[in-house]
Amino acid sequence: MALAIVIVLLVAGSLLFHFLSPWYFTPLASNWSTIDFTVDVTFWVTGVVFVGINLFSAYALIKYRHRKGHKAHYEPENKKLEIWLTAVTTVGVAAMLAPGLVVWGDFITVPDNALRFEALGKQWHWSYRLPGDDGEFGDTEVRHMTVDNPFGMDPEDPAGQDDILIADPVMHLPLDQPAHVLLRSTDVLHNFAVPQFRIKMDLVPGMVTYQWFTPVKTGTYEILCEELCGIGHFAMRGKVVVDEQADWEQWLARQPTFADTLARPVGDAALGAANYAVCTACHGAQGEGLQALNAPKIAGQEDWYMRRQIANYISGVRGADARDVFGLQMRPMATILANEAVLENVIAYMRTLPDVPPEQTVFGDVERGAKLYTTCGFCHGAEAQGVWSTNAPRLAGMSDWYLARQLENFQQGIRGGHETDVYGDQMYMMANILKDEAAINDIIAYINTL
Amino acid sequence: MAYVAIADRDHHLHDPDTFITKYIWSQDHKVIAIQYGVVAIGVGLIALALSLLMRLQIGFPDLFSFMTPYNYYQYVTTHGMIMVIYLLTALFLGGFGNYLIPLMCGARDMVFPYMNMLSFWVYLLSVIVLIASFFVPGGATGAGWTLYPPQAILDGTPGSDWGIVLMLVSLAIFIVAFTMGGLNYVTTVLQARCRGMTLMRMPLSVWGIFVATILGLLAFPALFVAAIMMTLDRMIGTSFFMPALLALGETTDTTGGSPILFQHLFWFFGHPEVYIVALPAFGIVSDLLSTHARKNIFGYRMMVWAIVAIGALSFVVWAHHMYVSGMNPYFGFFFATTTLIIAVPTAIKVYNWVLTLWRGDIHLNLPMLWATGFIFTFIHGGLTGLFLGNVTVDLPLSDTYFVIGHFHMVMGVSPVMVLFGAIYHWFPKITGRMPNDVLGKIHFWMTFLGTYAIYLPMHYLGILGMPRRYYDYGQTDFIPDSALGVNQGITIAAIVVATAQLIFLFNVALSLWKGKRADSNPWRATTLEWQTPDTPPKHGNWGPKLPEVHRWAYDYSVPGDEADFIPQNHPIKPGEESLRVAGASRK
Amino acid sequence: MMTGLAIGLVLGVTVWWVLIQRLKDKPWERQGVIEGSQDGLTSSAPKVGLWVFMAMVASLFLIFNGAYLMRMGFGHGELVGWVPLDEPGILWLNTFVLVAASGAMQTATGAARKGDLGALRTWFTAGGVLSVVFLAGQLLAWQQLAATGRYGVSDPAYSFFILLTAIHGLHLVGGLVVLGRTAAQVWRGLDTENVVAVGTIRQTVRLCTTYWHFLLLVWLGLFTQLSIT
Repeated sequence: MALAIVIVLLVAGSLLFHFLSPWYFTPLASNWSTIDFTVDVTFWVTGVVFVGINLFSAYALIKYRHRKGHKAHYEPENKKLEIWLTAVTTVGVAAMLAPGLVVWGDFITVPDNALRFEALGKQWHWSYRLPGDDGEFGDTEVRHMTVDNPFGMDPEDPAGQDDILIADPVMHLPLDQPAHVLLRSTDVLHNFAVPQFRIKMDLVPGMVTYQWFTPVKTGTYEILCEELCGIGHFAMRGKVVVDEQADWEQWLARQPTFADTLARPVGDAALGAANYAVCTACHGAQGEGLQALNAPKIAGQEDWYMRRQIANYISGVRGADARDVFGLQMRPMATILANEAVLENVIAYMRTLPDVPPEQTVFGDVERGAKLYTTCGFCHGAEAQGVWSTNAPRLAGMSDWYLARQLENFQQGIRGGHETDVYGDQMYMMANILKDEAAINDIIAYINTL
Repeated sequence: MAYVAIADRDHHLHDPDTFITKYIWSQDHKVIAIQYGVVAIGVGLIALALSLLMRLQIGFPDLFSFMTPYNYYQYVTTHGMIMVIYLLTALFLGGFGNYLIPLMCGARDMVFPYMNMLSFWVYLLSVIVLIASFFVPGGATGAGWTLYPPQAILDGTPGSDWGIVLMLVSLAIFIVAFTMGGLNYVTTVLQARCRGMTLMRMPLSVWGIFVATILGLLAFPALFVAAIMMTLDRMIGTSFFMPALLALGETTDTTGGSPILFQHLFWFFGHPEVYIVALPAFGIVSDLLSTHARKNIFGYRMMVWAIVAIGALSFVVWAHHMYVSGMNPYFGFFFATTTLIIAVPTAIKVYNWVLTLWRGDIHLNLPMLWATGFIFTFIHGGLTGLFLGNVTVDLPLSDTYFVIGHFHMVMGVSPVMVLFGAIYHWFPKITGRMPNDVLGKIHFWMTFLGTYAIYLPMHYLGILGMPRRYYDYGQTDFIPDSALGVNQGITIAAIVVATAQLIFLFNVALSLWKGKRADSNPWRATTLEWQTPDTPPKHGNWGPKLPEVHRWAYDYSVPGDEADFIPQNHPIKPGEESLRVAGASRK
Repeated sequence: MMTGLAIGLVLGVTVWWVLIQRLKDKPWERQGVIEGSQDGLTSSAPKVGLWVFMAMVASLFLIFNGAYLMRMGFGHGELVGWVPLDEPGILWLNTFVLVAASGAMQTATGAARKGDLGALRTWFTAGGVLSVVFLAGQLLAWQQLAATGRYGVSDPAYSFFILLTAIHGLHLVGGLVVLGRTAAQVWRGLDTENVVAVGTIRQTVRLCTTYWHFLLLVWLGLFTQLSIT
């Protein structure tokens, strides 16, 4: 008896949960209302069956519960009933399947006027490529991939020269224009999913997969990786920004082509020495850093990381948060390096500075730190030496007090909290795996041993 | 050639005389069944503990400092693998298959008892290797239970140096163990049934286990192939699954391999695996329902056909796990169609269970609670399967918590409901004692309501778009803060359900120690295992003479008979035939 | 995909056959002990066990075959990095030896049936020796391939060749263990009065022969596939 009542209550509760709970599809922002339609059809058909069978069995449980002197009916089978049930089930199944197949047909047929772009996934980062004026993608190969050619573009292929390369994980798309996403991975399986668009497809290394959609609402949408791709899986985020046509064209014009990236000026250390004079005041003549002035060691840090941080300071991605006292100091300094040639010269000069390990100022439980560092090592390298392909800077032999402060900043969102700081966002999530206060000291104490 | 099988057989039974041959190196199918059961439940408890750790992280991401992504992915992976393979497969086939097949078919033992014994010990070895993977450098693999390459064997994944190798080796060993057991189950059903036990008189439990074993024998080789090839990729650098790669800044020497090939192999095993677990559950629950509703299983023939049809179809639906894997998109049409076709025989089974209740005489005994609980959870899990099986509907839901909710409902909770029902049902036969009813009911209610509280909301988190296998959600635009609240609730429900399992263990211990003595047939059931001369059955099961079967397994409430059940080995009484025909046509 | 369809087809036909044969019974209508039904353990149980095992092994090789074809590029529409292998000529010789082994086994079965102990010893042992020769020949083929120095581990055709021949060889080794044990019994001499012991030997010899024919078939299939791709 109790069981029957509970079943009725569970059915009622499930229905109430379905209709009243706030957790349902995010508002649709693409053309795929047909996908939502197939989901609705399935909900209706299965919902009717769910309610029907369960209420029937609850009724049977009450009506035919054991009573003294009552005997069960003897009926081995009932062919007619079974044939009817089979037929009705088949109709229900067909009702769900048919629209599903039709919409799938649409999903795998890309319209001719679609804007083609490539989404390139790697552990744990997104970047994008557009075919450029010639409408053709250049050849890419894994063996061409280096820190200066992260897309693996074939430098010999003329079709690749005008390809537009977007190294940041933020892609812009024009409103109401079908987008044909070609999916490519350099290492493991990833998945390009945007819940608001209802789309999802794996990236498979060694082949190119695809999907398409038409964005119908302007706004910013998160791209999630939905195929387990290693330890940083949950922090592999990208963004799709849907712009009005004019805004999109403006954005597009600012993006470099492959030829542009090849033409980056080569830094001159001698010229850079002069520009570096300004930095000396805080970071020291040898770039060794000065804790009293809250300036970290910069000698020995990786070039690509310096470029990105300077760019972040200039654009306000970093150092614009009111709580970031020292970042605020750095911002105006960074603007001195707004000129690309100047920046390259300074970086070239810094490469000549001696890389002397600074004095240790942070102490903690090295053993525990080593355990915690396992996770960090996947991006920053087992020796904390920095890894370009994961966008993770060098940590070992750098100012340890600075690392501690940055970890705290990340945890509080002081750094990495800016909405366009996609790398920082990743580090924000990762910094939060250190859940107690000792953890930061422990981990830095371990990094000091590397 | 005169091969005097039966007489010969008794000499070969190796009557055990010492403690060791009786309980350790035993060739008795009943002892082996219990050994399988104890190890499977033991390793299942480990997996349960791992799932709690995962849930703590998801529910309270800022609280537990020992939970790093590294551990988290290891726990996720091992939890899944243990539950699917080392618990469910082993317990249903190695445990219940071993115990029930000879008893229900009227055999003295399995056909190859020595191999049967080896099967258990090799299984134990596979479990030990699996657990050992936690203690090697780098720890257990964190590749997710699907172990997809290239990720599983590259540096960016926890346990990619030794953990993954031990996992693959353990799986290969498990498959060897399964083969040795499986040959026994199939051959015993085909070749060792007692007189009068035709195939169509076998209880559905045997049918379910039988067909599931055949599926296993044909499908496990796919996993074996995948495991060997991936081990080679990992150990000596072949490129079966490995294309040219640049991972974490390092290029590999591999070229041209196909990660999707692994997925095809994995799911060619993986989908039948779902039915390897489900079919025994289907069979056993049919018998529980019939016995406790005092009514024959409705549409026995349909039920057998459905089991066979589901088994056959399960080999042509595997790629519905791969709609968004990047495989040839045209496969989607084929696999969506076959997948939805398989829903028809499955639905028929559900109808027939419910129709067995209809006009029955339902005794809500402890096993019956679990069996009816199964109907509810299976309807839920089966219907959500129609979402994921249909290629377009799968698009927004794939890889989200909807999938987690679905498969836990359909192949976690449902089979486990049957497992507990079966344990309580056969406990008196296995141990000679009745299980404690009150504790059993508490266990049921906590588990039944608790699991629903866990998995129903998960479906909606999935619809919302929450991806699975995330250590932390950080600040994701479209996920409202209330979703974290839901996750906390789910975690608390999971703790409740886990506690309930401790009550179960306590119940088993208490009932073994002080439980009421059971008579040989406490549920008044018709099938042969309840008709043994001794309870628990002695070695050789039947005493001097094998039983003889005179009727099918479901003679409950036969019209004109004063008792409401007639055991299978009871001869036909004069005039019974005409009564039966009259009763059947009275409807 | 192809493997799946093949297995599905085999299973489908089996199921259909069983359905027609047995499953139309209305068990509740047929009462009493049915005459002609089996009575306890049958003498053919080991044979059935072997056939079930061979079904599983067949499935294993069919799946390998599917993986091989997919890795070659079927289903991708393009061949990715697949360079056909130059099979060493010794494989033809090996094939011949394995055929001879199968033939010897068949003769041994005939001898066992007739109760000709001498011929049984000779041919059964010959079957074993020829199989060992086959395995040695396979090892030689590996060596010849390795000696060319043309193939690295990451070469898929090469690694598949090694893997498939190794798996096939291991199955043969497994058979040889059973064969060796039985051969030892045969050589030790038999108590011809002991009906059970003689029957067991006869059955084992027959089952070994079946298994050898099966492995020969598998090898012919493998060899054909390896040669034409």
